[in-house]
Amino acid sequence: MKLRTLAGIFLGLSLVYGCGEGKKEEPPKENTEIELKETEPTSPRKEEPVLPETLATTQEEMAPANESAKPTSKAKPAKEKGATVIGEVVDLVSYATSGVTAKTAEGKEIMMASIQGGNPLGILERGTGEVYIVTMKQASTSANATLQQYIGIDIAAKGDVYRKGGQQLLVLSVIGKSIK
Amino acid sequence: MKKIFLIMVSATILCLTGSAQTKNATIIGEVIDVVSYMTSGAKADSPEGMEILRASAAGGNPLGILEAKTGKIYLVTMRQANTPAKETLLQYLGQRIAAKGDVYKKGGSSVLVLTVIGKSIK
Repeated sequence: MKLRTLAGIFLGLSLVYGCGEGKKEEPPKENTEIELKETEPTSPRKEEPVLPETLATTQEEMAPANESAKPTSKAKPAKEKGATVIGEVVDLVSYATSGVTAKTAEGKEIMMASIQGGNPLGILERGTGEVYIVTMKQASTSANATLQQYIGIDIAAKGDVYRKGGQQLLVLSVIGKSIK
Repeated sequence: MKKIFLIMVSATILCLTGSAQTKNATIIGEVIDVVSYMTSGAKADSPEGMEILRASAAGGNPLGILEAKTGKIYLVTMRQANTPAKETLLQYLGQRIAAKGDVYKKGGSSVLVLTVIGKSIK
């Protein structure tokens, strides 16, 4: 009888949290101020299609990345210009395989070892729990070198977002500390 | 009854931690530079494409695998941490490959922890 009650509780919990959606983080609190820093201005990336110098901020300015691109999750656009992502820098591999973030000293150490081994850093968005691969708009600096400075800090990043093949990519133009 | 209870406990834990893992998966597809492919669809199917990919990868962008069947992109890391995935994958640029390893999915991203890779003969 007791076991049946416990089983009922767990079933209830499973339904409430929902399978496959993963652990939801608390939604982002309104950021009143965002301190942003321009990334090093240098020569533009060769292989990129024309990227505007100024950042677009409205939905109207969004354009499809490519005809074959399919929107991934929840009908998000394949390309989103001038998007702002607020969250934290994570090592994409450590986070995906074991949920490691830089919130603890051990986590930071694991991340540093992982990126030294050649794994890419990315951004874990606060609120949605979605992960972004990051590349620099200006090709002269590697994304890892830039993001490394922000490990363990809440950040705000601005750039164009591309969605394809189940991944999200942020072409970073501006990054800074996020200040509440 | 006990079995049902244990299954429910495991399912609840899996749901709450939010990580999904597929052990020993095989992915057939091609090696791509994730950034070039996502931004402009560039692949290593021409000498120009190959050049773009090499330049992008040399600039620090990650290489990955584009699964032929599903069009899904996998970031790749090596099970043995002493070799960077990029070094291994660079040898297979522009080739149809078969890769084996554990797949982790979290935050919408898929990562393959690579154990075996080779040319696909299919």
